[in-house]
Amino acid sequence: MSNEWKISPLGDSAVLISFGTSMDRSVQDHVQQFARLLHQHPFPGCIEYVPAYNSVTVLYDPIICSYEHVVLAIESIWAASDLSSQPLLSPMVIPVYYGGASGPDLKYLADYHDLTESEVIQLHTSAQYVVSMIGFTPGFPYLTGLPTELATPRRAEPRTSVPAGSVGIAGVQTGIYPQESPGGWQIIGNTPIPLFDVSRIPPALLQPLQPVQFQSISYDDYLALKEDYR
Amino acid sequence: MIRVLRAGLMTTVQDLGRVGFRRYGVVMSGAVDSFSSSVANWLVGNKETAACLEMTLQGAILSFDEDSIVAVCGADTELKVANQLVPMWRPLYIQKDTVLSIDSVFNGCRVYLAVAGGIGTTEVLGSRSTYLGARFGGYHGRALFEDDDIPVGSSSTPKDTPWLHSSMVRGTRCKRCKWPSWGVSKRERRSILSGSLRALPGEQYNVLSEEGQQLLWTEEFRVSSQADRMGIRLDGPVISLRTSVEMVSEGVVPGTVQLPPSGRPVILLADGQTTGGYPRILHVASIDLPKVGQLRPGQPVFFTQVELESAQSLLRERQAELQQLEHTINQRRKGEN
Repeated sequence: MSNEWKISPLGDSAVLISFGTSMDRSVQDHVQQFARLLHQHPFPGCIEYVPAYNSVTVLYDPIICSYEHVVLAIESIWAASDLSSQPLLSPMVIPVYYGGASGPDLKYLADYHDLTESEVIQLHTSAQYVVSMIGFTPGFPYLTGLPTELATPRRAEPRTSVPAGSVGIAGVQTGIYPQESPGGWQIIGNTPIPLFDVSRIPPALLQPLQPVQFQSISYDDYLALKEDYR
Repeated sequence: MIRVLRAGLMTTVQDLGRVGFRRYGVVMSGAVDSFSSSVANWLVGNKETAACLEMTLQGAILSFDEDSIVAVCGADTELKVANQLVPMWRPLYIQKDTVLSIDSVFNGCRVYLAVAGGIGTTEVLGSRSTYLGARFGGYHGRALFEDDDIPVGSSSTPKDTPWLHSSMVRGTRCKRCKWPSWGVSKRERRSILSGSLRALPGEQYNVLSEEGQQLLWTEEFRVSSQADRMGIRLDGPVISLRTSVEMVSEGVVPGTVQLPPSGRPVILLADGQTTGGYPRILHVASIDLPKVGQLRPGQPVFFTQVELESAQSLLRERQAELQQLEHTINQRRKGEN
């Protein structure tokens, strides 16, 4: 067991590796390091892993290994690792057309924070984000790193339909809806890039723990990119 | 091809699930009673990983455009060919252009139809399971409708099946359907029809009030009408926490029992979300997940506490039993018994 993480059973076929209760940068780095180690050195019986904000869930086959074996395997993988030589995931830049019909909540959000729409876009695109978790729907990324000036509560009434590609804010999180679905996030723009495609391996554009930045594009560029990806 | 004449309430193509993409938000899916789907596959000579049809509460009416070997396993239902009852839990030889009808399901929730060669829909992300929420996998990512034509994988000619040539073979009067004198025992079949679920305490079990913990193990819950492949909401005593708890989303798995603010537990199933922010109060032991797949609205549910080591060793024992069952079925099929 290490100072940086603790392991506990999640039922009889999974374990939870917890990296503490805070969501700060060092915790995220640990989650990232751990996930990468596990990816490179899966132990016999390891089925898959799911990173989240400050934890990683590892699913395993208890026919092949017991809980005790899993604990030992994970401890030894961590102990044997050379963390300094790990290459980082390269950042993904997501082009977004902000406002208009693509960002029906941009004005509300700007007014809420006493900012202009331009200032909101400037703040949203200047930050460095990290994918903390992918869930809710396939490929939906929960991004941490939102400037606190933009933190806004969810809509009082969720929409029954949010278009695919919608970029939203809820509380201190920002995210992107890969598919059309109901949604309660404040929608400020839309990306023409597909976030999820079952014919690709991996099917999601973004990986857990990947760095992300947003880039503001013109409506013409948005339409052109959408055409490219058709 | 299998032609769907009546689809049934909720019929989908499922295999043993989609694995390896959970961190991208892709749920496992797959047969929620993997015991019945595996046995049905073994009876027709498939591996347990072959795709089959999962039917819920009301079965389908199907016709086969080729001579086929099929089997239906799961909760109880009436199977008929030409208005004559044919048995579950045995392989059935069905002549081409014959109609097989599967009626309402009782004593449980689901039945599985396997066909020799397996259901042959296109694999998506390594599996033929249907992910209804994301609309991919299985048959065009949806439940079956009337007039759908379901492709079947190739296998050896049904007429070559050894048990068909046994002198002990039985059949319908019209001879369009035949079956062997052997099948899977009642004791085996009944193993999945029980609302008594073994479970381990979850991460937030200790945040439950003492009364809440007591209630979990002693009281009867009931499956509410809000029950599907994603999760089962339980009616019954409201379970309370000692103190409110701020939760950051963490992983959940099939069998995880969450406690939403209503105080009514929810058991997650194969199509349940990959991460969640509600307290996890229990995890159903994997050995009892097939039972969860057979819980129907109104059915009573009890939780029995089990230790982790015990849950894992029970699972290994069960695996050995299943391997033995598969072996026996294979021998019977080949006429070696």
